[in-house]
Amino acid sequence: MLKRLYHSSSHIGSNTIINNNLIESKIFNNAIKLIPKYGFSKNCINESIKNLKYSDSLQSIISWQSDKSYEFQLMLYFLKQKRQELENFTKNTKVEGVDEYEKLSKLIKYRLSLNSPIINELSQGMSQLILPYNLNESIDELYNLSDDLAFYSGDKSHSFDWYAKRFTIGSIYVKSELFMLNDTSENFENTQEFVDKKIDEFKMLSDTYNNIEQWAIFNGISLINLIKSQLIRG
Amino acid sequence: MSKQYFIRQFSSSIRNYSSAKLNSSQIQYGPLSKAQQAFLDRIIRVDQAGELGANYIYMGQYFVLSSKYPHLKPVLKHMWDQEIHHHNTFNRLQVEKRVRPSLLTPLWKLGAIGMGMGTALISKEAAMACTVAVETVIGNHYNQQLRILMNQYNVDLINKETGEKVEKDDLESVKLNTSPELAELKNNISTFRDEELEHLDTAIEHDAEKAVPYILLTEGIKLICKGAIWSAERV
Repeated sequence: MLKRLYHSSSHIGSNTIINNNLIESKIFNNAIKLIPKYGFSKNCINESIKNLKYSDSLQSIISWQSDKSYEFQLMLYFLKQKRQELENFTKNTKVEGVDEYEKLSKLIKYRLSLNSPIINELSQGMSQLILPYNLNESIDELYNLSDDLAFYSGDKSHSFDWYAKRFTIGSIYVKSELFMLNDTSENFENTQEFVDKKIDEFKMLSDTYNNIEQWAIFNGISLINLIKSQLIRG
Repeated sequence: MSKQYFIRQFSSSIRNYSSAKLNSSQIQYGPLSKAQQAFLDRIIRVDQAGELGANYIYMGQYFVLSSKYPHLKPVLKHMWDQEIHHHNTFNRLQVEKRVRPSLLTPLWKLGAIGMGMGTALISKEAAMACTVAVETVIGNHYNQQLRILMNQYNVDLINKETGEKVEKDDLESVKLNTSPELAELKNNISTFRDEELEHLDTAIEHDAEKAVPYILLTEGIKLICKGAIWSAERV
């Protein structure tokens, strides 16, 4: 979780999420299109390799990369691909909003909308993520997502609030995604409402924190001045 | 051997005459390696925490000393303002480059303000001795960072049109060797280092060495600062 990399502006290519030129990326990109048909299963990858007219032995490229199951790797790649789409979205369109929170809510809704093509299979994929031996990678990916969401919404925190913010955004995202799984409303309107409600709560919480902090500093300074004045009186 | 040498000379001279020198809009900087990125990450985190510390130390000193010794007020204010500028610069970099701030930031704030007020309460000389210790450590640390930034950051230069690697001799000026991003960072660090060392001189001019347990104070504070640097880089 504490591993983070510097994001470079002049050195292009230092921070790519997905390299689409790699063979495994081609296989996975094609496999994701097959998810509605086969679910999050090894079949997606097998079929994808067949469709691309690659040799069957190319499966080894995926098993060689990590010791995780095909299903989990497919889910992880799906998350990365969607994170990449989120990045492209923020590059191409300017997210409008009166404040950070409104932008954040729009970004979360956009990210959730990317789940809609595979919403019926998503719970299978999510169950891969919470397996204890996969937890490390999935939490890293969630943290990357919440960091991206915070950055694109224009977060400027420098202190402990940096951590609090990312933690809260991550938990809001997970809650909304779970809500979305059972949402049958048209265009997932209930989920959108749910996101708005959670973001409002988040905003209220951070306002409360700021108010308490200001109050404490003000009273601290007045206390010191009071003591000073009493000391001068003797 | 001599034949090969001549061929090499000849081909490089052809290259120089045949194509005009490249300017900044024609080249692109290759990606940084993971290790290079990790080091930049550390630099920004530790420098942000360090400047935050410096900012709060002067705040504490100013709070205690400005009413007691009016003649020190402008001196302290000048140094404090510079530290605020440094702190803001690294805050900006931390947000832009998406670097994680130090997890112990609240502790650095408390510690720094405590150190500033504590030494100022002992005496004004002790406060100056504290400045001497802090600025010595920071100055050295900045120098170390600059040394690594100068030596370890050779990246490939790529011609934007052809996508080929560019030789260093084909560039319009030597400055193009480093990307504007790194050049700005180096520039900031070296200016800040010079300003920190100026503070060191100011503190010595204001009787830092007359502080009573001078050696004990400065060495103790240096040790604390080094410990803080070590942990701010990592946590």
